[in-house]
Amino acid sequence: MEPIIRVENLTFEYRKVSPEGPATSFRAVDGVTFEVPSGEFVAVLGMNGSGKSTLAKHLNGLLLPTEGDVWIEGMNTREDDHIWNIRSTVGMVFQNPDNQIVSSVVEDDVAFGPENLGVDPMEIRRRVDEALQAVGMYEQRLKAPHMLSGGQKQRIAIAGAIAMRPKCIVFDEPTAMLDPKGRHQVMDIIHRLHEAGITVILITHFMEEAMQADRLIVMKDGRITDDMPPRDFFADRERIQRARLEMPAIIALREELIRQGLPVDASVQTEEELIEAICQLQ
Amino acid sequence: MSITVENLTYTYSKGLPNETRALENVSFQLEPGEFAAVIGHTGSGKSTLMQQLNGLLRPDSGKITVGEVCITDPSTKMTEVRRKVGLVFQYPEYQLFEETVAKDVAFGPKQVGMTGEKLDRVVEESIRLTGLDYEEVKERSPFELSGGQKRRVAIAGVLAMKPEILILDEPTAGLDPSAHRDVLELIRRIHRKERMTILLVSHNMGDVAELADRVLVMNRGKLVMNGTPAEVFSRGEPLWEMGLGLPPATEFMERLKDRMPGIDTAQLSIEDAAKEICRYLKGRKK
Repeated sequence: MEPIIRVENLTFEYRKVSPEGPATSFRAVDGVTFEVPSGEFVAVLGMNGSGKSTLAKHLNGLLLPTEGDVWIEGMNTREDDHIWNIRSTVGMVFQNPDNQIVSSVVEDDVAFGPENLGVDPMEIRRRVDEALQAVGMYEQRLKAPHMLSGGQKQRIAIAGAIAMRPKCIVFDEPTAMLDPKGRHQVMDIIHRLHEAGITVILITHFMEEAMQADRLIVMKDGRITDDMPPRDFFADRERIQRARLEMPAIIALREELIRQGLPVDASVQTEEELIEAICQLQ
Repeated sequence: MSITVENLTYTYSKGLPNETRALENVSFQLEPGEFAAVIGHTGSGKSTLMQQLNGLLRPDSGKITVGEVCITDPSTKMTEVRRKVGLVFQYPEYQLFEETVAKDVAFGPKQVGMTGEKLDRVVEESIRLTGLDYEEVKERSPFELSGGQKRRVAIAGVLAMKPEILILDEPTAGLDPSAHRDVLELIRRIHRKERMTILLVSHNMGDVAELADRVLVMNRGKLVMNGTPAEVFSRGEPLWEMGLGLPPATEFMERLKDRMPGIDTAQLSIEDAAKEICRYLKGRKK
């Protein structure tokens, strides 16, 4: 089966034009190749400036490759004819909800995408209601977005993406600006979308969030340095250090317990597993 | 420099249909050199409180005293207040604008009349204090730097004003783990070296537990808790109800408590949590 996302040898250069001297360029993504099968939940980690967001913007044609190709369900993002299909296949949710909300009423904002696709009004109504219910914001549908909290606004932005009926949603640090409760709610929604069969690409700086994915891609200097299940990655201290990331708290605690002499198995990774392992020592 | 806040009340859009009580009878006091963290869900009034503290907003009623000066007194000059109280906004790197790092950091002190060697020295000191290599970055465009470096330049710009109180609004949001650690280290260094009074607004309970001497909890415009990190984070239930959380170590201990009754959950760091688990298990074996 054709993977939903196929990226082949993708290179992207930002060109910088300066008043004095010739234009210079900066290679933000450097020869990246990977595929994502439909329905997968992929987390992307990496330092600021490692190329994660630039890569993400290629997945629905917001940026086009300097070299290489990106195919979404077999459609090349370079081909103008496909661009609307591609954008309704892959939705995007960014870090700052304030930059993604365009209307002064919640439900109008969610309807914005499908309206622009020329979807039938009855169908739009249905989709908007469904999308708002999916993120738990149906009750707030007639409110003004600016009166909502950051977490609620982010859920509206996600509803806007869901209303497009995408097969894949790319989340670019969706929880970075949220309080703890807002973060939990957004992660819950991401899990539910994944369970409903939507392919999820989650860019994040939170190790705990990355742990929840099926697969982890780590980027450094525009390249993919690791591509494996998060369990394997976080079991390898050297890999974590090389990528300049850190251990999720549970793994840091496991390591500390081992260091202090408790015989905890080094394969323990989740909170439940660690609680179980500790209780067995009683 | 100390801060005393007394019965502070503030309402947005007074008299309009969307009138919102943002602060209600907030009172607290910070000693000179104290490091306090402010936590609260979005919309709890944290940012409004910070804007009151450096005079960007004026309260409806109540009083703020910074050192000897009552900053809510209409006759107090706001320029003086803002020089004393440095505010680092969220995502401060968006406010960088100059051609070079050194010029950007010099902008504030220049506005208040600093010139010549004194200005150069203040700029250099401030940049070094943030852990950046002064010689390496001074002539570079701030826009060429990494996210974490940009944020440090923005903080240097506030430090160059030589504030006596520093307010940081979510200084680590959106940073990768390594830049995150650098910024925490920088805040700790400023606090230690400059003995500034610091107020840190954060959603990251781990950071709060690691840095602060005192935690202020805001909920619906009210100050609902005021205590040491150990005191505040021992109250998981009410914090969860307010949409907040616990530091990762404390949260784990809370979960563990169901299976290990009597374990002391008041552990703020991973290291202390591990120690308490070992202590508990040893006690069991005897």
